[in-house]
Order: sequence, then structure tokens, then C-alpha cells
Amino acid sequence: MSGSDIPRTIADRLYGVLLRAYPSSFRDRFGAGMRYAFACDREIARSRGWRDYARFWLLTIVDTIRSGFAERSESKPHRSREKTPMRSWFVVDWRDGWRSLRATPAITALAVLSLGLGIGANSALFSIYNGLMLRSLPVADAKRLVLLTGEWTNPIWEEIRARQDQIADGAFAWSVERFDLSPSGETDPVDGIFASGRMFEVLGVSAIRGRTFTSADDDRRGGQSGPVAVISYRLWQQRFAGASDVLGRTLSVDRKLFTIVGVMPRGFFGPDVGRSADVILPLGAEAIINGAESSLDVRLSWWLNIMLRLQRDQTIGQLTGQLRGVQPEIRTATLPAQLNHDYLTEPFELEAAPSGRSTLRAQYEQPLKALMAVVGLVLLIACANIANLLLARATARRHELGVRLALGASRLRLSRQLLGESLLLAGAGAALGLLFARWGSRALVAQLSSVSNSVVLDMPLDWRVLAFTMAVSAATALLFGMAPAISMSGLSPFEALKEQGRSASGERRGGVRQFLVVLQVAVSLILVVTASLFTRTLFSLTTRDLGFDRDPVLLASVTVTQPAERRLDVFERLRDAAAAVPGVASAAISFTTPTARAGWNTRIVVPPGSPLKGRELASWINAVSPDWFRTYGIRLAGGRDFNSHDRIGAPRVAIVNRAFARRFLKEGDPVGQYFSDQGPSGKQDSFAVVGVVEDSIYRSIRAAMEPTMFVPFAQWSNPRSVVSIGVRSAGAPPLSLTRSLSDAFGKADPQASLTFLTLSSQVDAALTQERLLARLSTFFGGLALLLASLGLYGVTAYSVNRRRGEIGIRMALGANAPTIVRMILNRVGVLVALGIAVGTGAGLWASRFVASFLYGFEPSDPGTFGLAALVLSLVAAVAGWLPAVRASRIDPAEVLRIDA
Amino acid sequence: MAARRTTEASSPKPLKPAVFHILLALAARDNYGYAVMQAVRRASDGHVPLSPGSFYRHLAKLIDDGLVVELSQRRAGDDPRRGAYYRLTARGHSVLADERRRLAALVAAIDGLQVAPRRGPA
Repeated sequence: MSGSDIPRTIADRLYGVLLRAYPSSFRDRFGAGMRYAFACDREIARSRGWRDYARFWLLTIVDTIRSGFAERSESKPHRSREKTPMRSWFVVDWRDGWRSLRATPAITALAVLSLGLGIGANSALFSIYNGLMLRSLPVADAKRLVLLTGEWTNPIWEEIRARQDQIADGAFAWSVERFDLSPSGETDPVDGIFASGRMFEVLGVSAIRGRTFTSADDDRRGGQSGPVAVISYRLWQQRFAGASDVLGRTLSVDRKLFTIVGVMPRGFFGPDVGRSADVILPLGAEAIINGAESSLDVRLSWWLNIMLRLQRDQTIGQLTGQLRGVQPEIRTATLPAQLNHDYLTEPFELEAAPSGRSTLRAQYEQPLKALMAVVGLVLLIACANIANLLLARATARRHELGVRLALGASRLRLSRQLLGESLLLAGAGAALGLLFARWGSRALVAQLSSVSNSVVLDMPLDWRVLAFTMAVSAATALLFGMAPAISMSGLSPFEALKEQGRSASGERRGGVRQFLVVLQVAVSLILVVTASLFTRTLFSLTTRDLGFDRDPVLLASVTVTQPAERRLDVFERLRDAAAAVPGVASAAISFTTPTARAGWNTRIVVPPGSPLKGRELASWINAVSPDWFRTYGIRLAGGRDFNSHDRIGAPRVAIVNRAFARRFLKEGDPVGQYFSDQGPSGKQDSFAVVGVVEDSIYRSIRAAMEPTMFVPFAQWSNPRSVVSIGVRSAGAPPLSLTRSLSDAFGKADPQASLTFLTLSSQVDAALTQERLLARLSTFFGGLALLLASLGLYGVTAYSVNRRRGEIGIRMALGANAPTIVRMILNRVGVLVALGIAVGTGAGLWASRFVASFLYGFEPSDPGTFGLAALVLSLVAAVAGWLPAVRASRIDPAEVLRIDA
Repeated sequence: MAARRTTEASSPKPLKPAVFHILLALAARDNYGYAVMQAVRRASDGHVPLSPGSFYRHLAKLIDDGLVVELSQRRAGDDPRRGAYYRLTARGHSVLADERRRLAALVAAIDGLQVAPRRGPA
């Protein structure tokens, strides 16, 4: 019986492959024994559990490869006639590559730096993309989390809560909130959530200090421990300096007191990606905070997100089926009084949510992709530059390489060395890039935050980011390493030795280099066009006439604690107090302010037969006090402003803007006409138009002027607890009024909580995305220009150097300096013109992808392309000018002497 | 083959622990590779880590140096998968004896110094 008769497992076969690390003579002698030892050890390791088994395999692999190669290298003298041992492949290549990189430190540093920037920019954007789109929530078994699409009322949640364990493996609801931690006066806003009792349990996360809250704490009067709060690691560090006695301290949240019972671990940010739930309150606490205005029992208040956990082996389809099975019960039990006919039948939809929920995703997915394309192109330019550098060096080293060829080195070996250099460069670039990415991605995310919205994104260096960086680096190494390696293949030792680096065949590689320059110019053109498109968009939006004055206005968001029927008095008292502050020109109350995120719209009733339908019937609406238009600088075009007589009891009046009058009112003077609107409940209200104002932006800066109606604040029967008081400064910068206003408000109502914000920073916040795109694309466009001009300079300088002899002869024959300069620049001009032509074609095609980000002009705008071409030509002229001038200073006598 | 490495026998250097234990195990009885490995692991109480790779490299060296021979004949009824059996040569025995003497001399030297464990402050 021979050994080969014994059945072998997959593990045995694998070990057989590993054994190939040993020289064949060694395998022949000891292979059988080694296999046997392996099989016995494997059995022992397997019986000890998977950890030991995994360790065993790791050790076996390392040991076999290590001793296999050691054996090979020791037996080397023994078999000198055999082919090169495997180990020396790697050793020689790295070593030679490293030596030759070290020999030219300036080129190497330049290459590593531009690669680091290129790879770093790509990795930075990818880490953001990864953090926002790809990464799973840092919770237990995130794969089983699903989100109930849409927003839900608390009565619906309570019905689902009662059934959560029948249909799923638990569920929780939460709402996104901004809490005020300040006990009095000006607000101190932090991001937080209301979460139902079982959130932590369903997510499978626990506190690092104290405890999380449970269903027992989720009570409208607070549980056994009273009202409790769980805080984030971030808040613990920032507000409490990581104090060890934080548990049990009280925290004022929206002026109510809560006891801190737990601190969450560092990486936990809640179920929303892109924001940090720094204060987590039980859902029941909403009743404590909002008192009589709690939404918990309101059947028309859609404010909760609901997440469920699938049971093991349950699919999303199965859970959807079960949910729809109980849907009629749930819907009937929670039917709002004002019936919405879709309510009963609209089916529940689930979506997989291993990476949580995010409102940022929809907003930034497209811009992120556009920016990733931009940085990809920048990296391409960087690659072309490095390819050019390496190519130039390879050409300069033709003599050396020729000697080595003549001495018997194989072409493969020389190419491998060049590739080794490329890989070393790429590796160093990747390492630098990762550092740059760490810093860059954080700086970028910081840019996303605005005054009213802080973006917190967890972006660890996880395997995806590392794999992406490695893949990008490997691809770049191949891209720029291929050119010099290929150029080796045509090298003949005889020619190389003879020519000392100058020959007709050198021109062919000159062709490759010129192609790279054309490519660089074309890609830079695309990037410069992109940058100017985004910048022009930002410019047109920031300079757009919004219909109101943004600079002199300070906004105070005021929250009061009084019940609804006394609020109007309080608001008017606060408004009067503000108007009396020295330096204030006027002050006015409103429900919302221009470009704020909150909006209120209504449906206008039109006569039968009107062509208007659907969305065209909508009008924005705002409730404003007298003097509001003057405060915001919106011009009254006809009729009168509201006055103190427009109160509840008086006839209902409205002021409309011109867009409203054009769409909904009859021709002629709008003042004196009547119209009606229809609320969600179906109730109709009739208004007499008493004034017309010029158009102004209601919410979106990109939108056209939309129909807007204004009603007197004092006729609003049920004012909310929060309003905006706009204050127009008489001349001083509006922020300088903050302190005196805060004092005045404090005297008028010590309970009120205040948040100050200038109108111009609110407008700026509405342009965050545009500003980010413009800034980044300008930065990268500039980087691309710089890299491309370096490339152009390098190629021109190199070609001047090669043509020294020719230029010298021309000058000796009578050519003057301007002729030489023109000759060189002509060549540069041809390359740049070609690049611009290619870039324009590609840019016209690519610009359609950014069309949706633009405002005010077409993506194929000829002015933009013309300007970009001009900028590129200027930069190219400078880059070509320097070597051209140097060429014209060549001393013919000297050149001819050397050449002879 | 024999000229492949410097011979341990002529060198006055101490044996490596793994080599010493392999010789020791083979001095007790002829055996196949894995059994020797296990004997070494047991005798050294796991302090001499021996993987199949390092064990067989040591063995190859010992065979090349003439301290160990591979037995050409197998015992009847042996599992063929175990591979060859090995035996300590006369030279192997003498190397082991040299090592024994070297260690004994070391112990004697230490005893001569009368180095005793300390017993705390006097």
C-alpha cells in the first residue's frame, strides 16, 4: 500500500500546496512525514475549538513559508545551475528600486507628495462616502435592522409596539430633536432624540457608565427613577469633562430637569447617520417637555421614525407580509378624526437599514459622487506627471540599463526593477495619502456643518477605506509604472551603449510623453470648467436678489412657556421690548423667516374651470406682525401693511406677493379682492386682500419667486410656543445687538429661551452644499492646473535639453533668440491646443452630469469653456516660456564643442 | 550531500535545545518523525516549540552531519503514512555524550562556586 491510496481532505491538499515552498529534494525526502505530522497536529487543534484551529492554520502557513524559503536559500550553493530561487525575485527588486529612488531624492519627494495628495483626496472622499452610505451602524447584528418607510404618529407606534414581539424581534421609535441645555436665557442647543424604551435593547448596545433606559422609564410622568436621560460619550467629554460622577447629575433639557443615568460608548451616535444623538430621552418624556402640546396622542402629527429587528431567518418580505396582515387593525385603531382617504389603504413599506437612517444621504450622494469623479481626475493627472518623471529618468538611465543588459541581466529583471520602484512610490504615496485622508475627511465634514445643523460623522479607517486606498494605489502604480517598463522592452544594449541616451528611437518615447501632456491638459480643462461652473453657481445664488435685505437683520428664535391663549400678549411684549432697544430700527414677529427650513403652505380655492391643478394650487403662507415687511426690507407695492386693528374678531385680511396675485387673483388691482384657502381638515377661510408686496424668496434660494400669502400674526388663533422675532439694526452690525436684546427679552419674560442668528448666516447655511462644491472644485481645479503646468514644463524642458545640439546649430547658422523661443512655444502651443480640443469635447459630454447642481446658466455655457481654455493657455504659456527662454540663451559654441 | 553544512560534532559549541532534545528522543528508541516531535514536546514540557517545518529542517541537518540515519526497512504492520523511521548513529551517541559532559562540567563549575539561592536578609 502506498501513501497515495489514502484519501486526502481539502486541508491535506492545501498543505500539499504549501509544501511547494520547500525545494523538491527536501519534499521528496520528508514530505510524507511532514504530511503525517500536519494531519496529527491538525486533529489536535481542531478538537480544541475554532480559535486554536485558526491559530494552528496561521502558524502552519507562516512556518511552512518561512522554513521553506529558508531551506531554499541555504541549499542554494548546492544547485547553482538551477533557475533563480523565488525569494531573490522580491529582494533584489525592492532593493534596487529603493536604491534608485534614493539616488534622486527631489524627484522621489515630488512624486510621493503629488501621489499622496492625489490618493489622499480620493481616500478622504471615500471615507466620507463610506461613513455616510456604506458603513453599518455600530450595533449588534445590524444586518437584521429594517426601517418602516416614512414618518409615523405616536398612536400608530403604540399599536406596532404592542405587536413588536409577535411580528419581529423587537422594534423602537425615535424622533430627531434639537434640545436646549441652557437652564435660562439664551439657548444652548444640542442634537438629541426621543427614543422609545427598548431602543438600546433592540439595537443591542449598552452604556459604558451607568445604564441605558428601558421600557419602564418610557413613561409620560417619568419612570421609577423620575425623568431620565442618557448622554453620548461626546457630550460627557465636552460638557462634563469626562467627570466620573456624572451619573445622577441633573441636566436641564428644554428647561425641564432630567437625571443622567448612563453614558453611551464612544462610537455610538444613535440611529441617524451624520448627526450625533448627544442627549437621548425616553419617548414618554415628550409629554414632560411639551406639556399640553404633546404630540403623543395627536393622530395627525407625523414625527416618529420606526425601526424593527428581523427575527433570525426572517426575511424583509416575510415581515412586510406580517405587518400588512395587522395593518387594518392598526390603521382603524389610529384613524384621525379628519379622515384622509389614503390613510386606511396606504400599505406599510419596509427597507433594509443596516446602515441606519440619514437625511444627509439624499442631499449629499450626488455631490459626493461628483467630487469623487473630480478627485479621480486629479489623481489621473498626478499619475501622468509621475509617469513622465519616471519615463524621463528611465531614458536618462538608458546607458546604465544598457550596460546591465550587456552584462547579462534579463529584460524581465530590469522591468521588474522599474515596477518595483513604482510600487514603492505608490506605497509611500498611499501611506501619506492615508494621513492626508484622516485630516482631510474631518476638515470636509466640518465644512458640512452650518449654524443650525451640526454634522457628526464617524469615519474610522475600516477595511473598506484601507482596501479602497490599496486598490487606488495599486492601480496608480500600474498606470504610471507601465510606461517606463514598456519603454524598456525596445532597448537594445548595443544602441544604448553607443548613443549615450540620444537616438531616433528616443523620439518615440517623446511621443508617449507628449500624449501624456495632451491628456493632462484635457483633464485639467475639464476640472477648471467644473470649478468655474460651481463657482459661478455659488456666485449667482449669493448675489441673487432675494427680495429681502439679509445684512441688517438679526433673528431671535423665541420659545415661551405660557399656554396658547396668553402667548400673543407675551410675543407682542417681547417685540415691543426689542423695538425699544437703542440701535434697533424696527422689530416684528413671524411664524417663519425667509430661507428658514420650516415652511407652511396651504391650498388656494380656485373657481371651477380654472386651468390650475395639483401643486399649482399651493401657496406659501406666513403669519407676520405689523412692520414685518419694513424689518425685512420687502417693499409694499400697494395697499397697506397690517396694523394693530387686524386682530381676532376683525375681518380676516391678507397681504399677498405679486406672484400670488398673478396666479390666483383677477386682473387689475389686487387690493380689495377676496380669496379662500382650504386647510388639511377641509375647512375654508376667506380673506380680503389689503396689500401687495414685491416677490421675495420664501424657503429655497434656487426656486423661482413663488406665490406667498401673509396673514396677521394676531389673527392666528393658535400660535405655537416658538416664533421668530426679526430685528432690523439701524446701522450697527446686527450681531452687536445680541447682548442688549437678550437683556430686554429677559426683562420682558424671564422664562423665554432665545437663539440668535443673523439672517445672512441663515442664508449662508442654505448654501452649504453649493459653497462646498465651489470651494472643493476650485481647490482641485487649481491643483490640477499646477500639476499639469509642472508636467508641461517638465516635458518642454526635457525636449529643449535633448535638442540642445540642434538649437545650437540653428543659432550658429543665424537663428536669433525670438525665433528659438517661437519655435519652442509653437510646439507647446500644438500640445495645448490638442489638449483643449480633447478636453472641450469630453467636458461638453461630462457637464450634463453636473447640470442639476447649476443655477442660472447651461452646463455647456460657452463663456465658461472659453474662460477655462484661456486660463489653461496662459498657464501653459508660462510653463513653456521658462524653458524656451533658456533654450534661446544656449551658447552655440559651447554646445558644438561638446557635441564634437 | 555530506559537505553541505558545518558538522556539529567537531564544533565545541553547545547544541541547540531543539537539536539536543531530538537526539535525546532518538537515543531512547528508533522512531518516526512525528513520534520524535511529540517526544520532544513532552520532554521539554512545551518549552521547545517544534513545528513540522523546523523539526524536519533540524532532522535534515542531523542526517547530513551523520548523527542520524534513516532506516531503510520498515517494521511490519506500520502505518505507511508516518514516513521513515530514524536511528541515532554512533557519532550521534558520541555527540550526545559530549554534550552530557559539557553540561556536567557546567554544573560542577556552578557547584564549585557554591552559588546558593538567597534566603532573604540575614
